[in-house]
Amino acid sequence: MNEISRESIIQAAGGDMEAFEALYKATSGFVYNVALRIAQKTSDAEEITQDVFMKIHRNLKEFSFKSSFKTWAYRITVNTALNHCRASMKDKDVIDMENVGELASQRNDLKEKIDRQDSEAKVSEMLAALSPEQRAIIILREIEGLDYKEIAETLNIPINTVRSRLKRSREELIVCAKKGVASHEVR
Amino acid sequence: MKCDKVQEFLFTDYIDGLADKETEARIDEHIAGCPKCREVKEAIAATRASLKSVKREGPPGHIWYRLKEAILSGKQEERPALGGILGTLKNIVTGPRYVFARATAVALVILVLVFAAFVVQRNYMTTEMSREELYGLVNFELNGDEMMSDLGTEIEKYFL
Ligand SMILES: [Zn+2]
Repeated sequence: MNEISRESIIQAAGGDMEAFEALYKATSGFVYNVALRIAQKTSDAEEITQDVFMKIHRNLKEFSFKSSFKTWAYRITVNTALNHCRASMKDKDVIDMENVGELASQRNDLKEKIDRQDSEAKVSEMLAALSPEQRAIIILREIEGLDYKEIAETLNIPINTVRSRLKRSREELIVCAKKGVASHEVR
Repeated sequence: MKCDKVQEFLFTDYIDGLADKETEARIDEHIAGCPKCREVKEAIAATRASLKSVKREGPPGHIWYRLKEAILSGKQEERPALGGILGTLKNIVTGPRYVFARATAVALVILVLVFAAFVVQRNYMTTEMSREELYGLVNFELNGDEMMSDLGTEIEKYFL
């Protein structure tokens, strides 16, 4: 994503709807993708995307240019998506207590997976093995291509935590992708 | 270098191209003679390649229209200060949000108006000031209310 110009942010913050539309066009791609990969459902991703841009619109006046707009938008997206996951996990817990939730939701997810292509399905499956927090860091690094410093700023954690979380998440991915290859022998 | 140290690098700095040349060379050397670590390296590279291969799609077009509608319909009840003093007063009288502010503000307006009317008989300059004071006070009252309901919630989450 190209960095957004300061003027267009100020214009959009001042209520200029055309400027805000340009901002949306420049950033909605990564917002939607990060949301989709973290939440893993198109309907959730749509809801999160709308929510993120409502927040951006509401808080644009307070944006202080201390971080880049891109980092700011990534942060809002990841936080909104993680909150969304936590909320729906809570709902799931309630059903799980009756021992039916897990299976039902897996069946729903499966239908959506079949609709996508093979590599798509593989990636979805791999990411599904991770916790939402682990998914977030893997997506930022591997799909969005952020460096350690940008990830640290986005998730508001120290660089060493970025490193240890990445390691842990990549270990999980390998365990899932090729069962039995690495992690048992690692330790 | 031992396997666990090598793999520590493999999972982070090495694969992300952050290890210095010397460390990289030592790891490569180890990998050349260690099938276990080589397998780990290949597995990381494979998962990474499939993650990078996924298509990135944009959001469906209807999201923008839904968003625009939500923003435009939200704007009408936003920030009374923007609508000028008449909008502010209208909001106090008719707006549903300012139940508590309304009584105070109306009392305040009456008080200041009485005071202004009293002063205007003597001095034109004082009247001008009172009018400013009136607007200032009403605005202050509303800004306080706005602050209570709107700020310090969403923004904090992203900056803390
Ligand atoms: Zn080894």
